Amino acid sequence: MQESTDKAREAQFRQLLEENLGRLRRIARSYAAPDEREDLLQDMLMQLWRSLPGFDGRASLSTWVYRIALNTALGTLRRRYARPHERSMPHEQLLPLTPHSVGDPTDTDAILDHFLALLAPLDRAVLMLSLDNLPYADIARITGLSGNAVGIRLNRMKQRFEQDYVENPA
Amino acid sequence: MNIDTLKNAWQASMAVTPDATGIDRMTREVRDATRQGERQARWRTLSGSAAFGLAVIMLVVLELLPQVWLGMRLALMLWALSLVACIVRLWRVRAMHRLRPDMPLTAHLQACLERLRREVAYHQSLRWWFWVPFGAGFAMAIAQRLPATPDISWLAPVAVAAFWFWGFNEGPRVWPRRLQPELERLQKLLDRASTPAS
Repeated sequence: MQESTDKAREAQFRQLLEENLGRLRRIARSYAAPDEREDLLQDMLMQLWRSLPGFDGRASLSTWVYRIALNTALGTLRRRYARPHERSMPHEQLLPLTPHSVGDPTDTDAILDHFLALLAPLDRAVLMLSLDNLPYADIARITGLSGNAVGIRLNRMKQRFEQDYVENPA
Repeated sequence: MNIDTLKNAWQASMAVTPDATGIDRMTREVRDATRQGERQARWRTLSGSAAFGLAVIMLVVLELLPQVWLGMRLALMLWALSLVACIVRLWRVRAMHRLRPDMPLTAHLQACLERLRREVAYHQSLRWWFWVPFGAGFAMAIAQRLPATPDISWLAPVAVAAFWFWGFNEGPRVWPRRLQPELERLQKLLDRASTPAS
């Protein structure tokens, strides 16, 4: 009985990984220093494994995955930066960019990393969800903000992006 | 360049298709790591409960020994009650806020903040739930047992009294002080949640 439950959970987890591994890696990359990304990814995966029996299908799988991954990422970030002695690098160097990628205006991946690193953790989450084409209602459900607040935040972030990277690029 | 450029970069970086072998390996690793974590947690709970049970049993056995004088009996009873009260209150603090990992982000942060506040309050209350009963019990245990004139036998009680004084003043502040940065960090995150990005 226990064995068949385990097998079912493993099959479910495999499917979850196939559909969401790229998403999870991207979240880990947005919230952890390069040498801590794999640890954060592992934490998120373990939390997902533990929570899988509680997934009731009321929300879509990706919404559920986002909630757990973001809660884990912010929890790790909060604990890490609340204990400076455990911090391996300062917050400003969370997503360090090489001089090459900073200077290359066509490297959109580096620009994305750079812009995400400038945002507060919650705004970062809102922007990531929006970049993943989630509707405002889903973003609101994941973050707990109102739909209106999500819209205002996104508009301000878009304005900031255009101001910093389009009109006055460094 | 506009926000769509970022969207394309995001979508491209997410489009990683893992192979079946990699998925199997990751599933095994996560399953084994989680099982190991659960085993460790069970072991911690078991050893904590055993230590707690043993301490209570020891206090009761000492209480029942015929040679034990009245002051010591009262002290042992007080310490046993204090120990049980502290542990039960700690369990309640922990159990009251078991966080669901799939809560909305801001609700999760709010719950974490509430849990930390309760932990801080618990540690601060140890002054009255642990240190006062410990000091009172100690005073009862040694009253009438110390020689009236100071001699070498006074050294141990003086050391315990100094330890008690330190514990009463500093003990309840140590953990709150350690938790304070996390509390501030959480508060900051929540303040930012209530004010839209600028």
